[in-house]
Amino acid sequence: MVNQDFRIKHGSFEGPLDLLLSLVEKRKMHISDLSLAAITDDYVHFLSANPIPIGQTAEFIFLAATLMLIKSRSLLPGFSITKEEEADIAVLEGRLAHYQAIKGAAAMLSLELAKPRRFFRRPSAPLPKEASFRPGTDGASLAKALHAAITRTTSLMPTREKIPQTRVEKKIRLEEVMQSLLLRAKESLGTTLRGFTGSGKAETILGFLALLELVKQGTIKVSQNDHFSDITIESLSLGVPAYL
Amino acid sequence: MEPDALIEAILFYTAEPVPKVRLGELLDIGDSEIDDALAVLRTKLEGRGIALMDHDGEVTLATSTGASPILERLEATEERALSKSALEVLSIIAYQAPVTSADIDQIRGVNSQSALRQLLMRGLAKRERASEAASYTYTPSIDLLAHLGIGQASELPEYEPLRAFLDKQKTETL
Repeated sequence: MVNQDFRIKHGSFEGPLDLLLSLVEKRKMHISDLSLAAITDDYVHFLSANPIPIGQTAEFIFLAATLMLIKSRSLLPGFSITKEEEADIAVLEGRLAHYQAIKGAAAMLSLELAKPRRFFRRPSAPLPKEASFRPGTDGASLAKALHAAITRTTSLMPTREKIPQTRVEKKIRLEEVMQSLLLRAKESLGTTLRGFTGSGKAETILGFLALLELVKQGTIKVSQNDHFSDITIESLSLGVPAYL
Repeated sequence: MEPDALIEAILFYTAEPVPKVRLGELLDIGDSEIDDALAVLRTKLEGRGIALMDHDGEVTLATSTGASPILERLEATEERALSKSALEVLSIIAYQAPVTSADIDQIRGVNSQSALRQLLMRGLAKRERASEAASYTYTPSIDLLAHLGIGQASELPEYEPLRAFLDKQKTETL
């Protein structure tokens, strides 16, 4: 199978949108930025507790980042977001509503398909008036006719899907990033987010998610002097300072 | 003979979907007269064992839904149910046709190729493209309507409101 479905105890999800929608519906909520903010934790928790199909990691993380943005906006009154981010959120809500409607339609169709159906009269092959195999008189036109027939036949066969050759290099788990971030903060003073993640986009997003999660758990303290400036991280967990 | 009777004869004889344009040529009458004749035929066939199907510019005769149980016994067909993903893809095609496979992937947020292939193999969806350079678009097949026991796509449950909602969402998010 091309699709890498993945399953958890309470059902199976195909892709980030499917997961998000089922989380919203599980809480019997309507699609809005309020409900999305409320299920951000569920979503992140799901990601950290379940293996994500490697081909879809980027989609799952991108959605996590948008959810974080929505949640941040709902928690911090002074938090302002850009027009582009505003549009991202609107698009996400629109896509969810769209997908929800399609799922509703699928449920209806499934019921309809179980109802009595119609049958067609099978067209019977007309009897040829005389045996007719006329490939032409010369070899070239026969070859051409055969080629056309073969091309038509092969075009009807399912084609093998092209699988992209470049893949995500390494699967990074949120949990692992959290652990290494915590260790780093414990061992050295003045750890910064940028210093920890480097410049990669995926690493930065994951690092930031890990940081938010650790702040929530109360294991680290962070400070930032200015918008978009680097974030300084301090460990709050008690322990003997490690003089190495 | 009345045009509706002639159309009935043509459709009975061909036993496969015939373009309405072709009917016009054969009977040498205009589009609106063809539509009128089809409406007459549809009414006359009410309560009979066969019904008129009208989809995507083509018409054909098929058995009425009431005859389904006996014909199923005759055919002794038992088809495997469609998977959850195939059903979702089928709904997208049914309610939003014509769609490209990129549209379908975008709506579901995942690659839907294998579900799409399953539908094509079972003849529930139809694939076509305007030219070599254009991408394929998918529409429901007349066989799908037959499976659903309906005569035209607009008879799908909740078709009008759902189609309007989905078209609105599509222009806003795709």
